[in-house]
Amino acid sequence: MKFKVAQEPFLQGVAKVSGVVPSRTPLTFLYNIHAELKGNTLTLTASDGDVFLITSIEVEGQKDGSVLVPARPLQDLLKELPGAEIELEISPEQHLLLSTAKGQFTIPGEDSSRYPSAPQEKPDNKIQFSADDLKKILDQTTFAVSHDELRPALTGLLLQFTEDELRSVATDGHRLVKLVKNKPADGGEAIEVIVPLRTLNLLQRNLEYSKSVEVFLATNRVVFTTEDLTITSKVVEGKFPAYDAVIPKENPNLLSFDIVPFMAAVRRVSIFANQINRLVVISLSPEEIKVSAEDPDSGRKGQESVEGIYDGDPIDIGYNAQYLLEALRHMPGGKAQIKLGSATSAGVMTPEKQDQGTDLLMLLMPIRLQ
Amino acid sequence: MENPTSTLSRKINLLSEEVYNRIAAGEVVERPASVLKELIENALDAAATEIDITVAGGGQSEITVNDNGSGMAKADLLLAFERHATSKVTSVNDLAAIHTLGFRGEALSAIASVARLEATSSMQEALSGHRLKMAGGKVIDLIETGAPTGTTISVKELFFNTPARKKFLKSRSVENSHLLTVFKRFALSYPDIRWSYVSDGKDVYRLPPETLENRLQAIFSEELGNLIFPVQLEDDGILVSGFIGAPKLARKSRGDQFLFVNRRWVQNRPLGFAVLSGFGPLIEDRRFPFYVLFIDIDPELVDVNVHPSKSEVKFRNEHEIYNIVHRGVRQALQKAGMDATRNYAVSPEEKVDPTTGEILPRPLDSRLPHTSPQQGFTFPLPQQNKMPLEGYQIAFQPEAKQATDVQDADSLRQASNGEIERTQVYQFHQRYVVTELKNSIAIIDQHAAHERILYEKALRALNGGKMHSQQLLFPRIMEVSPDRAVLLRDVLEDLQALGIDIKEFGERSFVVEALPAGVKESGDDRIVLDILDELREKGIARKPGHEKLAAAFACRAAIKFGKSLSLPEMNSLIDQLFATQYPFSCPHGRPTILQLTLGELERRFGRS
Ligand SMILES: Nc1ncnc2c1ncn2[C@@H]1O[C@H](COP(=O)(O)OP(=O)(O)OP(=O)(O)O)[C@@H](O)[C@H]1O
Ligand SMILES: [Mg+2]
Repeated sequence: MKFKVAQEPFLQGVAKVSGVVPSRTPLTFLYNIHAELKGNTLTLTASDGDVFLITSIEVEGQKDGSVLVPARPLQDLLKELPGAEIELEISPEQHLLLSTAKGQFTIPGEDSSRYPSAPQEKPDNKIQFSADDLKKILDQTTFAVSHDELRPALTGLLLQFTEDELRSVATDGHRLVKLVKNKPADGGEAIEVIVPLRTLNLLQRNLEYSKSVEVFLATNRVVFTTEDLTITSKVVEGKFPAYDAVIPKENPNLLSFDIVPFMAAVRRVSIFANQINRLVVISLSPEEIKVSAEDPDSGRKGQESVEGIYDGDPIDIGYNAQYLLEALRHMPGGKAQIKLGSATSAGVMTPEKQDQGTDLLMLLMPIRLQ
Repeated sequence: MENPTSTLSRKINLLSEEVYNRIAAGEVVERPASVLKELIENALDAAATEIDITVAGGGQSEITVNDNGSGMAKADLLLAFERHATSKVTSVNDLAAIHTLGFRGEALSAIASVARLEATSSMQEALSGHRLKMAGGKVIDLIETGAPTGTTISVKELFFNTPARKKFLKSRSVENSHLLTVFKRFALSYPDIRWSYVSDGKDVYRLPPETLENRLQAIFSEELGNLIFPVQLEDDGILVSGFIGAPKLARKSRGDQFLFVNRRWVQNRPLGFAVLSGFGPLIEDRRFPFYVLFIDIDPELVDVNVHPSKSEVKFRNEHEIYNIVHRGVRQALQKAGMDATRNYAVSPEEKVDPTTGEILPRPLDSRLPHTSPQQGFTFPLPQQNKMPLEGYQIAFQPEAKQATDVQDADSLRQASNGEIERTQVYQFHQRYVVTELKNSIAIIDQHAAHERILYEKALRALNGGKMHSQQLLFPRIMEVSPDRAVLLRDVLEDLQALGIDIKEFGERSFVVEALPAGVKESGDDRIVLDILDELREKGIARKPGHEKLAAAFACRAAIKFGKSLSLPEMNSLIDQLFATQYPFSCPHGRPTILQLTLGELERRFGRS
């Protein structure tokens, strides 16, 4: 393998895929990037065994071939060679020889045949998104994905395509986000998959630089392709819980408020909450809306009244401050409202003004007060 | 260079040809269930007391067995996967009296050659363990790693390199049922071991150490009820024990019949006939009684080196054994008020044929359907409350030794009130929280400390207060075994007070709607089973007192060793600990804090 390339596109390519390289693994070959040259196209692949990131860059090819290169030293070196023209060649003992106008660098590589290969074909079911749309979907939902490995089905985002909608749902059993969007123009057939959080995080990082994304879905695999990156990932196996059944339809008590000042108050008060259960209490009556917290163990307490409108029965309802704040933070700006049933049933939070073609809803389960 | 200690601590040897040729070796890995069997045997041979099993995809995608046994040193870990490598046998003489379940030194190498596997092992006292990765019998990787004492062997992609063999596997569900059968055999013969069995992510069994009888109930939940009778007969150094089922329980197929010789599950038709003959006419023709029987015998008098499956045995004196089994069964039935000979006097002999072990045919008229079981019979209650309870009391009787600590407790309390700034707090090995006090370093056992905190909280909650509970979006439905259901009903109200909102949902089902807030991060409903298990382990089968329930709750809900804590979490733990009444010991009486004073340090460094 032999080619010439400018530092910048090379570094960008390496940086794009190396995000998936695990920091500690017994499968040491995963510390490498798989580089393959065919003609003028250099294809770079990195993987953690479950997710594969693949990108291609244009180079001035001289001799085809492939090799495994350790990701870290290659990336570190490329960062320090701004503007350089690089010539790269593989020695017979699989060493990577990089030369610039003034320097020569050797990185020992490995035979590429050991590297696992990503499944080649893309599933048939294809949906096209604008990168911005997809980014927004992920930003508003992934925070509620569970980290509990003991309930695997909750450790990913449910993507559910129906006839005319895309529903994205995340839950950890205490809170839930459901985001429904009109289906993009050329949506494929009805299908649902649970995409692992890690895959989505890798995708999110790369959406900044893209315009549109194609998503290919199969029941066991999902592939995302942007202009210059392909992410192939396994999906989470397991059955996502029947979420629609737990969304209350008729919560009679309505609280509406400005998100920013409400959040600020919750944040201040939560400093006084018990650090283990993070309990904050919202006391609601048509006269006053109050947020309070108290930690009997340390004797700390705090309360604050906040602006807003409450229409309903007086009620004290407890929440885990972290859940409440995270939900608020992921609401689109402006006002939000929470529809409440009882002090022990799910509250339904929605933005006062939904984004175009979007229906966002968050559920929060309260903490039952003594 | 080879580390000299690892050579020294090596226990596994390669068998000499002479020994090896005398071993009934051969096909070891027929199907996933054989892998499971071998791995469990190894764990048991390593003296494990806790064994956790995970299988997935009918055992084809994964079979993992985790034990807390002796573990292996690095050199042994590598050697274990060689052919003819064993620590259990060295000479031909050893084969004459086999005391372990394994003895061929074959299993691991055979498994390794047809799968990808990962073996992690750590010995007690060792600073770290090792993880070995293999595929198709070749070592891929060996790294040093932190690991709890014991061994975990995880077999993935079984038969990935032997497609022909793979083709012969049955459907997932068939392989799953073979796996379960293997598991049940071991769970029955080792009731003193804590087992768990997870299949495709689902908890299938979680068994605390318990009496054989409780274990039977747990494994065959519904059917048994009071319909099992203990067998116990010793003669000439041979002991037959276990349980037989009432004739009512007899089945049309040979399902639930288990025979163990020196705790090894064996297949032995003649022995089966001996049991059947003990039942005599109480069992209808072509029906198979339920039994779980153990034969304990000097290993010199039984040969297990008969067949590669290690599940066939030859007895030195088989007749004697069949006879004892027959009598043992008959006697047990008699004690239960059922006379197997009664309707049977007409029959000349129903005897086990001394050569074939077959029961000789009996006259037709003796095959009377059995009449209803006796009314007056009462079944002995399971042995309970064997656990001493001192542990709980210690907490309420501060010891003399703790009195001196109390002075420093003030300094600790000041520290926790922010009067002395706790600048240095860190976690050691994800087990201990270390902090600096005015004149000492305090080392806090994170689990014991949290246990103390939760114990007092739970006690307050049970005595009138209540705990906050996080409501669940998806209520969880739990199925429990009948005896657990009884216990659970007894504690239902108390659990409510502890913040566990649980209700009856059927005879053996319960629904959990809320869990204690901030107690377990995942809002894990297994806390309920954990508490039940803890109570059962302590021998409590009916309504426990508040102290015991609080202790069980605290023990199972407290953060575990191995959980990493953030700085705020550590600070909060310390604060809460010193807000308790007896911060210096956990509810079982173990210390929560050790202190290393400046004076002590100076003495140790020879400065004073
Ligand atoms: N879970 C374990 N814990 C500690 N040591 C183990 C464990 N599993 C295996 N070993 C060690 O590895 C050796 C090889 O195991 P292997 O199962 O291959 O052979 P064996 O148990 O000696 O005989 P057999 O094949 O007949 O079961 C054992 O003799 C034992 O020393
Ligand atoms: Mg073995």
